[in-house]
Amino acid sequence: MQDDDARLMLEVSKGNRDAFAVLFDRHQASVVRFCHRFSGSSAHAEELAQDVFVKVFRYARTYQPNAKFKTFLFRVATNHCLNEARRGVAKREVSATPATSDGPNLLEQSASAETPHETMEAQELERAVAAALMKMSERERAAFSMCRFEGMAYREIAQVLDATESAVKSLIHRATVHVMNHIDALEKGAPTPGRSVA
Amino acid sequence: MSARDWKDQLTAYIDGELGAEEARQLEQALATDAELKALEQRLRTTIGAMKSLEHPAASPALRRAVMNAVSVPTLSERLHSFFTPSRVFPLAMAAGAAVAVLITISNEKSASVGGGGGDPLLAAQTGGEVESIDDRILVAQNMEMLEDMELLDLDAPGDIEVIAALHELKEVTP
Repeated sequence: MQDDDARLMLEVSKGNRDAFAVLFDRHQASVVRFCHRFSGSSAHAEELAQDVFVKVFRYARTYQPNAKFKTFLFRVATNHCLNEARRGVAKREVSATPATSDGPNLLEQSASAETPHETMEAQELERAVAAALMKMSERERAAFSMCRFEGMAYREIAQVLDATESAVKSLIHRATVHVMNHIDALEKGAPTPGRSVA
Repeated sequence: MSARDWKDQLTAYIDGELGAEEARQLEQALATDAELKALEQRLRTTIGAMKSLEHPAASPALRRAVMNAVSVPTLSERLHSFFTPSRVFPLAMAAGAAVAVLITISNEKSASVGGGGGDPLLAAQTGGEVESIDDRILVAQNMEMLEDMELLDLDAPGDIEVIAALHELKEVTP
């Protein structure tokens, strides 16, 4: 699929809209997911995703065939989301509901949520993670999202963020520890941690 | 590497991003450090939970909006499609003809302003400022007026009316 994406993107650079439609269908879920995690808003995620794909089409001529298309795509997505964040586009503030001290372990319950109770626990986990993401730096959030939700390798993330692999390793570790602490605090009913220490 | 340093490597280790030698050394540390081992387990559980999170699906409206947006030709595409060779050549010919006509009209107009003919000698004498008979008469009249003003020691603009009237008197007076 990698080589096929690159081939399709070369077609897009010539103005081939059918090739673009194929790429869109393949990658729209990833981009929407990334924009959702970055912005904290599912409604805003689609607006961001739309902008990202239009930019990919408009800037298709800048695509280098030796680079993976996904790297190019997420570079456009990351830059766009970062620019929007710096423009002060409003983000939905997520307030996580703290679990009681006797409450079940959120992490263990979420993996196989089937009953309404388990569904509620899954929702609480979702809120905890979303809240933790909003308290991270933008680069930590982008790196964490690409690693955890898109399954991208550190090397790819480094290319997207124009950073070293060592820097990406630090970003992802800090972000993961931050999410872990946030979930632990909610389980224990303790105050949630402040911003991730960058 | 100290215990604190190994802690910083745990996430990369879990993600399979450590080199082989580094991973081996970390596993040795995990075997002997209970606190490190406990942290590793908590991180694994956290990372595992991320896989269970649900994400919003893209709506059909997104596809429509994106395809509509990219179906609108860009300015460069519109210009490129308009200025085809079959259009450019005739347009260039028409533009060239229009310029030629304008130049011709301009030349004719400048020639006719001088009363039907220019005097090359006079033009040369006056640096190109006077070319026609009408121009010469005008200059002569002005020079005559200037002589009168000098004679009568007049230098105010309002005195020009006096000088003009003076010539009328000359004509009337026998």
